[in-house]
Amino acid sequence: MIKLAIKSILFIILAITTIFCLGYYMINFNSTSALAFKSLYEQPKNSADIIIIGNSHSMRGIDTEIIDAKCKTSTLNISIAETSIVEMYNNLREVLAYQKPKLVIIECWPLIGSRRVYNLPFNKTGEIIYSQYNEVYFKKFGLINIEESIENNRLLEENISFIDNKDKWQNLEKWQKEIKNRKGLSAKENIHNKIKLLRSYDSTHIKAFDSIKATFNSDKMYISDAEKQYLAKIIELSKEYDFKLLMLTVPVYDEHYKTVEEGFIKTSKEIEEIASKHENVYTLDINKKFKGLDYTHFLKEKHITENQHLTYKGIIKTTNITANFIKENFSIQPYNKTNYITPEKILYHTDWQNRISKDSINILEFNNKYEVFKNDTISTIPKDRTISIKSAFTPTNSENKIQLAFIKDEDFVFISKHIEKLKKSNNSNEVKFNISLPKNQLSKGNYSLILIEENTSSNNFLLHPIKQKLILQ
Amino acid sequence: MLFNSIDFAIFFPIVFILYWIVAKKIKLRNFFLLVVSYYFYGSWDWRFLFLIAASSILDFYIGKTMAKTEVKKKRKLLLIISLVFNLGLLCYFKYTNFFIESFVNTFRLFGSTLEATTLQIILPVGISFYTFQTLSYTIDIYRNKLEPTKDAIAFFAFVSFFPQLVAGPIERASHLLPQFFKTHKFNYNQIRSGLLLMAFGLFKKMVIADRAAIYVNEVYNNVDDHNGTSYAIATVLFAFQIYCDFSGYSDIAIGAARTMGFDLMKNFKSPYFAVSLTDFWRRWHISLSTWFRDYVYIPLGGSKKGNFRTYANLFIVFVVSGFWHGAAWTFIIWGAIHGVILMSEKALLPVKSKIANHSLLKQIPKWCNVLYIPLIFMIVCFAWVFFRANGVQNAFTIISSSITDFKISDLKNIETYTIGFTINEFIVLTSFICLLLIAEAIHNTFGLFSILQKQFLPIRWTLYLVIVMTIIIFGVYGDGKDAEFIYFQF
Repeated sequence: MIKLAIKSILFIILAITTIFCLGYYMINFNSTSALAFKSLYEQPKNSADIIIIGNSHSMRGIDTEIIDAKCKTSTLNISIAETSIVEMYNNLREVLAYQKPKLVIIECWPLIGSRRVYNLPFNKTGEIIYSQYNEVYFKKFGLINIEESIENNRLLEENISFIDNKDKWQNLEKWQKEIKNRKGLSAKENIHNKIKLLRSYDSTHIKAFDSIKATFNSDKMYISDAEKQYLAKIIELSKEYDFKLLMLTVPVYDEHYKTVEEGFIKTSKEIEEIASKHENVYTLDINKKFKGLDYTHFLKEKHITENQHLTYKGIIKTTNITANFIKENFSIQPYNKTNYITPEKILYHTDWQNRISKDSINILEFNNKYEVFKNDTISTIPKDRTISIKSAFTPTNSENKIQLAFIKDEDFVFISKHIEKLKKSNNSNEVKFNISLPKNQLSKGNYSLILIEENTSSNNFLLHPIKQKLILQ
Repeated sequence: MLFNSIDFAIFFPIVFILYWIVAKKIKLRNFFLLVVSYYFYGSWDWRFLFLIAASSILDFYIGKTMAKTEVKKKRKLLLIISLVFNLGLLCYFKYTNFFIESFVNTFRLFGSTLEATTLQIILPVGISFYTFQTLSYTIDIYRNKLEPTKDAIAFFAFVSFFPQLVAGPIERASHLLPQFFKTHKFNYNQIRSGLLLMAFGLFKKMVIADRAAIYVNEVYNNVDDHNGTSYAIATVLFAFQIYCDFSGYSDIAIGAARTMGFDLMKNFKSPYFAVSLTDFWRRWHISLSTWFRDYVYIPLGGSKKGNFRTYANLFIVFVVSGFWHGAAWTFIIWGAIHGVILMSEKALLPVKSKIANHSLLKQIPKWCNVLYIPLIFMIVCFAWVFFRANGVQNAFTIISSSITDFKISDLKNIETYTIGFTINEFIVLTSFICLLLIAEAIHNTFGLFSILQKQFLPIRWTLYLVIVMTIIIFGVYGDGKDAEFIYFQF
């Protein structure tokens, strides 16, 4: 019997280990929720200075690369769509098993929002109502993970991604693509790319929003006892682990704010009151400052609801405000354990101009006009809806990736996603590139344009200035 | 509690450990088996427990009383009571509505406007299996082939023994009951082979049967929406679905019993390798076919009362066997088809042996018999159409379409294979069916388990791991997909 018991235990251990090893290949890393936890595990232990905990509003509201560039820190965004404050507390506990942050930013939308799951985050049997995007198995297998699963009666179903995603072989093409995608970019870079979305509300969206806003109700916006209880638990953790807390309110659409301003003011006051009782808890309500942002800052999404998510323009604005607040209020001594360079780290730095190469680039075509390159400026006209730029340059290495940056000032640097390179001719190393983006994704003003050439293998960036300045009217 | 459920995955290891703790004390062990078996059965519906308890009590006392008397009439009367009670239970729960509907339909043929009012009767799981098992006990005592037991607990545990309670193998008291009085020693190799058999059974059920069911159900439940080629494929897949479903259950049952030191009879022996229909019935649901042989065919006279009676007896046995499977005309026709073909086989036997004895044909090696395998498989598949179809009309539609509407060009069309699932699922399913047939061929020739036992530990463990991973990755389960075994309904 002892022989059988020993062999059985060994076999079970072997099987579980195999399941967990293979489980990694089954996780759907297309979701930002999975990537959020992946970024936590990719980060060297005790090297993250700032942690953001929240839901989709902060995932699609804060760009950690901008915070890192401006505050010289290392920031992780562990925001999972639709999570309540209870799930945020669990996510923070998971984070604290790996990192010793100096500042934790808690996103306040789960406290402010009127969804039932936010105010009443437990079901009748006392189990957490989980967000459909939050899978326990995104978290690394460990004591905290097991504890959370047992508490919520999800040990078997939710811990083993291998079982939950076992049907992936039924669509091999999709699966192969997913596995291929996870090579190369880190989770943090992946999130950074995923949140650069540019399609904002259009007239139909605005009309649709106007038609539903009557259903919004200030009375439903309150911080419930359960929420207060878990907020208190988070504050307890901040004292236990010695970090500061920043209660951040990511902006909503201004029409939304106007409709339920009373609710926003009421909840904001409540949050401030709670924060005022603790020395290490701060608040930053961007909504209060701007009374929401206009439609150009919000993503055009399939479902029009109380939830609005920011476009890249909105993210740049929100993150810069947050980063400036951090710089002013917290003197964070960074761990400096992650020294990789990003375009943000270069371009949000005042000495970026010293790094530019001598070869400047001419614009060949701007908004379908050819003659513009002769001038020192290119300018939009009011009726323009898009900005379209065509140009060419000779890269130092054909494998290098390129991006275009639009620099307005130290609080607004728009860096495009990677641009596809088009080979000009067989005899020349010169490559052409085109970029097109909605005009409303840049604020009015004057912009310096910089072509960023990235050598991905050496994490090195070359800046090619574009001769023409952009005047956005 | 299904074998392919989380509940059983928790239930079985607990039972296994506790069983071996109490194994040395036979009475305590039998009592323990009785309790866990009743828990297992009651997990479907606690009300079913009254039926099995009533059947067990009656047959226990009938057996005991029968042994005390030598008066033939009294013994016969006791046997009749047992038969009436057990078959009465079976008839009431399984066939009442069928008889009402058939009665009303017959009257309608003659212009009657009678309305069929069926009763709300829940069919107790496995009733056909345990009633046959207890009947074998009383019949064997009546025939003086078996001594009745005085140990009620052991008898109750024998009737309700949880591994084979709901879908067999239908054990004979003479084989299984004495095992309840023996001490079972903990045997590592026996337990290992039992666990391996259980894993193999789960593989058959979850990887092959339940995935084949997706295609089969889609086609058979929507008869008007598909073409002849799809019907043909669905029928072949059903042949493997029902085989893997039922033999998978039997494997798990035999394996689970073996881990506790019990030996259950073999129920399947690669039936699709049969070279005649007679051979098929020696390989398919062996416990039922031998039951019918011993308790119906032979009492009817078997093959000893002339050709006509032999054919008639064969036909009766298979019609009854079809009816045992389900209260529907499709099952009766299924049984009748088998009966008619077996009669033909028997009738042609002298002709066949004359031809086989011809000097030229004598030189043909025996292995050439394998050429019969596809023919027998096709005949079996033809009969399966009636077994699976939702009504006689549908069965005829499927058969006629499979013949008249079968197009080779449809086989090149990917849509033929993607009914209810993706092409990858179809490829995986057919690959595993091929793998199963190869494994069975090797097993029949060399004995797969003995080959395996001779291998080094890393090779053995790798194979075990592959089986477990295959079930986890390619099995159908989760989100309420834990499918019942087909034979539970019988």
